[in-house]
Amino acid sequence: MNIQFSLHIIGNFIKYLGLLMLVPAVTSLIYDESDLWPFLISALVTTVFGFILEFTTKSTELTKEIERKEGFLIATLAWFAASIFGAIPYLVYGVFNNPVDAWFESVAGFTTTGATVLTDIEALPHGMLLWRNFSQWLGGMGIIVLGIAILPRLAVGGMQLMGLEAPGPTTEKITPRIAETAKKLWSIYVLLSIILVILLVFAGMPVFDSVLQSFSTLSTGGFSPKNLSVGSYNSAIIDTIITIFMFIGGMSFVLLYWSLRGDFKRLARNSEFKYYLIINVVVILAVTFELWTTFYSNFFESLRYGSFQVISISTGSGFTTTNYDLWPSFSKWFLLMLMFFGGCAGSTTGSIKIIRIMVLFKKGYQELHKLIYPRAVMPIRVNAKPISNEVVSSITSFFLIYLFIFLVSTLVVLAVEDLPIITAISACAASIGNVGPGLGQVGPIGNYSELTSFTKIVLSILMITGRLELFTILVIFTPAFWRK
Amino acid sequence: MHIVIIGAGQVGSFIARSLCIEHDIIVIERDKETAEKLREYSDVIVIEGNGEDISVLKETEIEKADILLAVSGDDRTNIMASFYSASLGVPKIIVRVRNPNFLDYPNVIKNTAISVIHPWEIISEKISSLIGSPFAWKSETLAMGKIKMFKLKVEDNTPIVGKTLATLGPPKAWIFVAVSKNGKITIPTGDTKLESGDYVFALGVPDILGKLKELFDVHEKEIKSAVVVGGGRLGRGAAKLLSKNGISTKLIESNPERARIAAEDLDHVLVFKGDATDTDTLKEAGIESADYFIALTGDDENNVLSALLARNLGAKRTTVLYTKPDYIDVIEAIGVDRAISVRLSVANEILSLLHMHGVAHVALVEEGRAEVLEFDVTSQTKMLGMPLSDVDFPSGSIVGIVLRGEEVIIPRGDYVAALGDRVIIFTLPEAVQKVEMILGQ
Repeated sequence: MNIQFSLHIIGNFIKYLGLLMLVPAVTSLIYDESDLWPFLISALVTTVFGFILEFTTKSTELTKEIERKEGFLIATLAWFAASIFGAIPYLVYGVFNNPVDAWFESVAGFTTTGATVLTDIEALPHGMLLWRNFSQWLGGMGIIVLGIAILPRLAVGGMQLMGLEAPGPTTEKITPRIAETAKKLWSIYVLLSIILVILLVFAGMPVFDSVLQSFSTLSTGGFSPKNLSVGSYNSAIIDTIITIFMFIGGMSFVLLYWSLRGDFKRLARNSEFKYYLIINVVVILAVTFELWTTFYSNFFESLRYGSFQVISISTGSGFTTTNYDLWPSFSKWFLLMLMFFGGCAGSTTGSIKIIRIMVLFKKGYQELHKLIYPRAVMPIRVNAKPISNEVVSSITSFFLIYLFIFLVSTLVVLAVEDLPIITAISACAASIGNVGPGLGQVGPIGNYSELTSFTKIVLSILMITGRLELFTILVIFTPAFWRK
Repeated sequence: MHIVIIGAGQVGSFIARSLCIEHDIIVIERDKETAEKLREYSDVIVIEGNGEDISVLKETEIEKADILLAVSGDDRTNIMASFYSASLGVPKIIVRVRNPNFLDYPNVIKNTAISVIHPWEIISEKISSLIGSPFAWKSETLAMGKIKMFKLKVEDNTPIVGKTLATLGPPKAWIFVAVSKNGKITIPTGDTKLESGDYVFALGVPDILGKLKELFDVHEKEIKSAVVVGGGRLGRGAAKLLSKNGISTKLIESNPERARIAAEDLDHVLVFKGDATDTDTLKEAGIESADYFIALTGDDENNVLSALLARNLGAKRTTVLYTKPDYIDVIEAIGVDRAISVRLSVANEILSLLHMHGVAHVALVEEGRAEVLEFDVTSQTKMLGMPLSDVDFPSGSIVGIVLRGEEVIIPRGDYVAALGDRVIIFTLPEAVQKVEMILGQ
């Protein structure tokens, strides 16, 4: 493993990250607000740092392919670098005085978690609001996927890198060449975002808000320019549009690509999509039914709030239209459970993902079946194709490690904070699952600002670990990784 | 271009890897592990399945393919896939057929898109060219035979040792495009000093070899006796060729049945039944006084070990055939003089067939540690009408030779590319992309 080489790539990456900070600077220029200089300074600092890192690590070996170990290191460092440098504008402008707060907000942005430590979002200038949501949009499809699409340097050996970042146990290509695939994924992402902006503007949302909302909806991020999130627009049409696009954000973008090209067969054959659809519909109906009978007086209101909140939590978006913390406990606990599901592999969602849940269910069923027919040979199928035992066991261990990390972090949070159990549990589940708001103190009307810096750091690390699907980061902490 | 490859074996995966930066490649591979390995190391799509299965072929969108390469281990699969894709009108189909009994099948349907690759033929050609010009360590045919590239060794006590390339005089009919020192290939400058043990790569017209011999002060000893190991088709072919040239030839084959067939087939060759990694057998075949030893069995380890033994026992020159690309370093290190790579030979043949179809011809050198690109200057070429000194070629590449009609030009800075010129460029892997960008194809 060549660390110098990995740092060289990261330097190159940071350089471009700095240029991306000019996007919110343009907004500041348009609105003539005081955050223009902070963005220019941050962009300069970041780009110069990237240049220096790239330059000082220049070696003769730079044309080589990215090796396996370097891939893990590059992916992890890229995400830490993005979140750390992404926090600079918040600090320079003075949104936060505590660097930990700025980093937390930045991590919650890039990882599309959408948890916030801001108490008054609407007090921020337009540029800052844009940067929050823009970072979610970048992180949604993936900063490494973007890198592969744009930097030819990353295309060599890019398949492994993309696999480390793209959600789900396996990565699928649309075209033989990875850079082409990355470009296609990003282009449909951009296309869907534009469509959403147009729809929202027609539904009566201000243009600026529509752009921001679109950034954080397709990325299933959850940041909103309003204190009351989507609820502040109080429009059934806007709720419906966003519900649909959050659902789209939870679909596999490879499948979306084929569907947009008119090939719906792949979508119809995809068993993960079927599960995704069925699980969400069933939960929406159950929650709606309970809300209708015990909470709201009319069915449509129950359906409107029920479906929005269910999709928002299950895709890990974390928008709110109502204070679901007041809901009856059956619905509330359903939402907590959904935090562990997530969307489809290859989507912009976090958490465990439907495909893993599906395989685990099938595995459990297979075990039961084996008790009755001990000699039966029963392959586990995904999309009508049998999958290997190695994949099943990798999924099982992912699930176990996911739960283990969740439990340990909950215990750590409980040990240092004086919090109700439900707050600690939901904060950890919402962080590792990249959901955003939880229940109790960190629920729809609360936020993460009251927590101690230590807890914020723990949760931030949880968010990045969840976004990179555990293994990428965990492998770096194994002695074998550093052994020569 | 959309290229479908059936079989991710040595040849299939090698070609997939060398073409994947420029082209869209889909590979069909039956073996799960092999598929997984290719997927990890190359930027291609790998479909697990059987290449003769129409539903698998459909998955690759074969009907839109520009090229089909059927190089799986199974001749029948290759032939079936070629028939199916020919029926869909795939413009270029290359089929590898190993079993000579099947050789005529691909031509049955009389489709001009199909070209058949017969590894045995390619390798026997290599063997005969090596036997024909033993001075060159390797020779590669370029520009439809008009140009050759020779790999030559700088031997001890020859007048060129210690001299720089500049003192050897300006290139006239040949040019040294690369120097290999301790296995590392570099593009030389005028100041590059030749040391004993180095290899140089020279580009020139085929009959330039004589002049190079003078320069290298080589006095070839005539081969009087030779030992061939392996009584298969290759071994028998080599033995036949050697004995036809009036060389006293002996052949060693371990399988009794094959030894019998070889003895019946070869009139003037003495055939021994025995193991070539056995000292006694080798001695019996007269290895101590043999001028030439060539091991052509299908077993790499056997070939290398017997060549090593033969050298120790006194054979003057040794040549081995090998399949596994990783062995090249070992083979050179233990002092085997010449090695013929099955994979490289077949891959280069395939790549040269692709050239006729508009892909810049690439010949791979030393298991892909360098490449020779051959392309025709067209109206789209970016360097058209520009003096060479103004073209920003990367440091890891050199424009070797230009063919203008029948005229051979060794280009200097004042060379201006004209329409129809065939330009041959030697390049190291890291410079390939940049060179291809300059060529603008």
